[in-house]
Amino acid sequence: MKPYLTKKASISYLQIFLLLLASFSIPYLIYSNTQTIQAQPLQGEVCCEETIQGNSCQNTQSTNCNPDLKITPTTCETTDFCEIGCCISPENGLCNKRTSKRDCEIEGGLFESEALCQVNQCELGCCILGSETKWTTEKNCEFEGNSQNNDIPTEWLLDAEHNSEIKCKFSAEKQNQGACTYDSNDEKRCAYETLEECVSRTGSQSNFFQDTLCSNSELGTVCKAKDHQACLENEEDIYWFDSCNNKEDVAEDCNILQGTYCQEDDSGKPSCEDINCNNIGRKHGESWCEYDGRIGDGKDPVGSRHEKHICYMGSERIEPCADYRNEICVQDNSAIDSGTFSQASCRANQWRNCLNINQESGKEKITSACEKNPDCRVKSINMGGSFAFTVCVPGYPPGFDLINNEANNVLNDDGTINEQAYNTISPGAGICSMATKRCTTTWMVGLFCPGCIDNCKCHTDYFTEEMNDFCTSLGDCGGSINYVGEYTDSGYSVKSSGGGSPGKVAGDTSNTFSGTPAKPGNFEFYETLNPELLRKAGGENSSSTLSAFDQELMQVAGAYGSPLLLKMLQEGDENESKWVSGVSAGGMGEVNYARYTGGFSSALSSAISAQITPYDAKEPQDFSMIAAMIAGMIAFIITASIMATMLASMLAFLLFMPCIIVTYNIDFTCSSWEPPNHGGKCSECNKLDSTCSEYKCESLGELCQFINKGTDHELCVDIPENKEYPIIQPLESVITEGYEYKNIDENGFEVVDSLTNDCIDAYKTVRFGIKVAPFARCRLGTEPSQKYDEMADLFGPKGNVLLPVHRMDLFFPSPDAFKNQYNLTEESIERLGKLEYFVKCKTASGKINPETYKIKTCINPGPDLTAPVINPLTTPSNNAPLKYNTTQQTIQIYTNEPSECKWDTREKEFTQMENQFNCQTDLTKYTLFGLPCNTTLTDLQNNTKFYFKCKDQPWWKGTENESKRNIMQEGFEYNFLVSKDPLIIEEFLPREGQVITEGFEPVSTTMKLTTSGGVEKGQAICSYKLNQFSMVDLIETNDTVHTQEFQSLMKGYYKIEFICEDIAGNKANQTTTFKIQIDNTGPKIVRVYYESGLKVITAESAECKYDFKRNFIFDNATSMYTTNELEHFGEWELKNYYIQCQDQYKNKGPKLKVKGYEMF
Amino acid sequence: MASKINFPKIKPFNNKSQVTIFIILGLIIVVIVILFFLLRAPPTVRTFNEDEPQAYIESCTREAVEKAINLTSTHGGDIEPKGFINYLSQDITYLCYQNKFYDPCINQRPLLIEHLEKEITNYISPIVERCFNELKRNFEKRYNVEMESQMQLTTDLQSKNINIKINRDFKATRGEISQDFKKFEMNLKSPLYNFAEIAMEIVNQETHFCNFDVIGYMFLHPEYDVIKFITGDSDIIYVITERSTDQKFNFAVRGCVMPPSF
Repeated sequence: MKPYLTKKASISYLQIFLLLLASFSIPYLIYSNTQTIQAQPLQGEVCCEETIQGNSCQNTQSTNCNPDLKITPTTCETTDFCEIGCCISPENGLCNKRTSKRDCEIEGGLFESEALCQVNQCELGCCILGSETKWTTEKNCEFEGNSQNNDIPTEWLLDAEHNSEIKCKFSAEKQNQGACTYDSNDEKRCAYETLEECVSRTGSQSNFFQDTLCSNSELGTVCKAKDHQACLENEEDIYWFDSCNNKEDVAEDCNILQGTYCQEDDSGKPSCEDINCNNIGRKHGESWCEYDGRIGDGKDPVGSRHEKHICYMGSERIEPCADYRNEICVQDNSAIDSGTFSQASCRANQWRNCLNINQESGKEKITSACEKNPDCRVKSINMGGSFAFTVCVPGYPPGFDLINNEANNVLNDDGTINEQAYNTISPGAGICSMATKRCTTTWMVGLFCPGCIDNCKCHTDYFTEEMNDFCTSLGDCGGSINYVGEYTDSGYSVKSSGGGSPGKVAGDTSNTFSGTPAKPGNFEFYETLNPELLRKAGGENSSSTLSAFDQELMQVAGAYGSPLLLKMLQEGDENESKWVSGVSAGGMGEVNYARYTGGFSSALSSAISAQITPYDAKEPQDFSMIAAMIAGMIAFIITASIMATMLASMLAFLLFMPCIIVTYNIDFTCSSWEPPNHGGKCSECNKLDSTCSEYKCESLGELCQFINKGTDHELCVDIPENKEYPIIQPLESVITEGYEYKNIDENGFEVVDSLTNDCIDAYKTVRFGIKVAPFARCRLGTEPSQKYDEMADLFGPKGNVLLPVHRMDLFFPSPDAFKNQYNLTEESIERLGKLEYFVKCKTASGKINPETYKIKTCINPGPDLTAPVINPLTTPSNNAPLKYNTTQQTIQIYTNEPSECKWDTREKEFTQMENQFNCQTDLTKYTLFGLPCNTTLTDLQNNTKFYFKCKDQPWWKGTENESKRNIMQEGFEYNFLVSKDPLIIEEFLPREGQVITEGFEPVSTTMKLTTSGGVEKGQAICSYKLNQFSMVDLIETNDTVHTQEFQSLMKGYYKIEFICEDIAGNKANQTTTFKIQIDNTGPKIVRVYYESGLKVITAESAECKYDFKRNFIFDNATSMYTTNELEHFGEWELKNYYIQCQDQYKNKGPKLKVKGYEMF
Repeated sequence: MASKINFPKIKPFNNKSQVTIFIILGLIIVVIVILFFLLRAPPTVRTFNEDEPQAYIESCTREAVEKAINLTSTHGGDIEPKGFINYLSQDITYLCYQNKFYDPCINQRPLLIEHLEKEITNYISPIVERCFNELKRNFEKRYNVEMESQMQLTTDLQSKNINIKINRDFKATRGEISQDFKKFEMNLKSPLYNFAEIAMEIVNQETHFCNFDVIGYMFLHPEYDVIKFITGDSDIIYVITERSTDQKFNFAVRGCVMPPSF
């Protein structure tokens, strides 16, 4: 055998092969595993150091993050790199608010954690740069002085005469100027400038003649007086200039505030040009609102947008407010000498607040709070009985997304529904549904009976009008017009179970602006938005009562236009120092909108429900869409049956027959407003007189599309009409497991139980759905002859959205239950158990399926073999906390079918349980959670665990069918958490009577509380009330330590009331009063003398420096030595000293000039 | 009887004809080439004076700086915008941005002045480098040239002014004649510093108050015109104009955005 074919050689080959294989496979395995790990994206919202788009420090989905930079699964605020603070330029001293640490450090800035830059380095003051001024930081002032001209005298002041931008600006004119003479080319020339400039130019003060013009003959200069006229840059007046081109007196007094400004024509000739917008009758600086039509009172048309117009320097400019009416344009007119002057502003529409007000308990409180908010209106509906309620609704209804871009994503490739996309579409529909209400009318029927006795107006068109008015007030809902006045009424429906149905009403298509613009609101209104900011604007008046002037100012400050301008016009520019109070011309305050985003729907529904007390029931009238539909059908059958019985009885007994009470339900369904089914008016949006947007465009028609967004060719155009009729098919992917579609054809299908291939069981929720092409809105009716517009019910929660799929849930009580409850005939029961729904869908082009699509199903008639089920959702919830010292508690549970329920403290047989629930068994009172049962649990000090059991078919109680009733085998366990101690506020800051001293306003201070006891060892939510303002939650709370930072406190006395409450309702309260005082005066030098050198004594602790030049920068000057901060020592020289001292708050005292001399 | 078609006889080209055709084709080509060079954009002719290399570098740098100013002013502070909105076919940087609803924006370009200085420096450095190389080539025709390999270029934005300093040893010698330059400096009138200051003030107010009052600002600073436009998506576009020169600076802000409905 050849040596390379021996056994040894074979083993070697195998080893080599394995080695080679391992060399490649192991790295491959490591690589492939590593790839798998890297490919795992972080779920949910993360903090991106930078997004793919290039924006830094954003909380967003991980897929939006730049993968090469940091991504953390927390909010950016909690990360080190994206901490938000103040970024200060070490070079020019300018400050940048709300900057991330990361960006600040990239640019080489100094980062401070104070996001709003309320730090000494960022304090603004008046920087005097020669004859110019600038409102800036001290460091920037120094930078400007150095960068412009080293010789330019620079001074940064923050005394009483320079503590606002206005004062600073006008102080520039107070700089002493005069003639500065000098020789040039054997001529005596002259420049009109400041003393410092003159000294810089000529080296001597003797050449300066203050307040003297260069053309003054006594000076003997070559400059001739009043040589020519010209405009000065940034000056409003026309000035005389001498022949040396020095500014002289004002030649003509133009006034920018009165609408004239110096302007030179092409030849250089100046004149006071009229800068008012005379062609539209507006003054320079005036701003006003313009609207697309009617506004307010809940009537703003769909697609409309408020606009602010401004007249400035003779031209009109437009500032559109935020779209979707998230901003409204408010306006106020002021009387000035020459007539009226209007000021307008786009400010946040407080519509969310209007809905939030409904969380107040009681009609009076709702009305009172609503009337205080100029953006809200009180809507009272009274149908002549128990259907009467008052709600607070938006005065300027918000706009919603009319076209859902997510519609294309609703269906996954595998035919299943993309739940996220499905649930995020049409958020406006949720708001509209707040106005979906049922009015139950009660009739006493009989020969001598009164007829309708409760809510009788619900059968009239008045009901439709009132409910549609309520519906349209909530936003782009119901029947309303778009901004070009085109009305559609597909956004609401109304139906009745009998007794006459109110019809649809002709909508109000008028779209004319009444001439009264939206109101800005008063002090009380702004108080509710941002009390802290109002305090700041209140200036030094820190008591609870603001002066009349402050209140007047507050009517504009932070709300609209320029309060600055308004006051200038009212007071005149000579009196500016009288009124300047440091109010920012900024505008809108810091409103935490996020806190208004939750819970409106439930709040409004419960607020209304609480006000409606039906004639014959005390239970809340919650119902789901399905339950409502079933209830309607039931009522119809029952009514028919009763009416038949009644008629028969009438014939038999005539006068002796008693009155029969009958109820009817009239359901008003409010859903999203639907655009017209055409695109003919799309080009209306492209008109030049207003700004077109996606929202506006889509309001004009289903077939309108906004194209070239972001470019200078934005257009609203018609998209091609799809003339196909909708084709409907069953949606296989959504049907509940255990059920299936049967007998499918082009006209419909049946929903059956998969096992029995027959009827579905009662009290079971069955989900099913349809596919529709092209995309369409779908509705459901109970009569085959019903037209689309006559169908009152939507096919599922998104039935009014153009989608490729729709789904809905079926839930049926047992027909047997009705038989016993209403003594129905077998025939009625049979009819009740067989259900047929008729579906109509409408495409964007308005095409409706000509043949009604029929969906059939039936309910298993029985016998009922399943025990009732208690819904885990209880009130209070399981394991609910109890207040300290609570001995008993009422609770409410829900069962899925009419039942008899009991409770006990131990698990027992149903029959041995001692305590009863009071259960609702009337199926027409079926709620979203089931049928309610109430009881009061007692002896809670000794026992906190309870067991509930229910037994169905209560109508058979005590009959021969008792044995057919089904009982829960296992008890529903229910527990309470007990508070062993009361809740206590252990300590709080600021302490009672504390005095907080700071160097300048506004002052930042932190309020801190600690709590103990209660149900969760002190964990509680604390709120506070600052002086007269409203109670609000602390920023950091829901813990045992609670903090709130105040950033804008002004000097004065403050009273804060705290209330803490834990989840059990244990409350603790406390009050503290404290004082903010401002030390804004620099330290006084009380004595200066020689004692082995220069010695300075100050009245308070200070740091002192000196220089031999008057215009020195404090930080650059020579420091004096000190031992106790009161006595300061420096070198002794026989020169003019300029000494300045600064206290711990960086307040600088005046510069003291001291001359050293020797005594002989 | 089948009809006969008589096709006209084509006379083959003779040699003379071919020569003529080639001449014509040649002439056409020559004319096209001439036209190409004539109609093409004329090359930039930069006057070169060997006694004033300073002026040459300044002229060359000035062009680059002007371009940089134009780009940064149009794009909101960036030469190549990062984190921007496309508005009227221009990419405009968000100087303040918040992608979440309701929350105020976060400053995206703090120290905008320093940022602009860096942007301009980065943009003009390679251009200035080319200018030096060109200068060197021109000098090398008559001089021995020594040029420092590294160049220090700094951009200083000041009120109404941009100052560019270039530190680079440039020595040209011919016999006993020697020219030595170490610093090249130029100033350009531009309100870019002032624009940046106003933009920073607007951003500061937007981060704090979710608003900036245009009229109030313009009354105090009539030398500037500020236009504010809110798009349909609630992005805010600011355009600052210096009235005396009509120079503009655009930037975008997005913050405190309220969604349609909740």
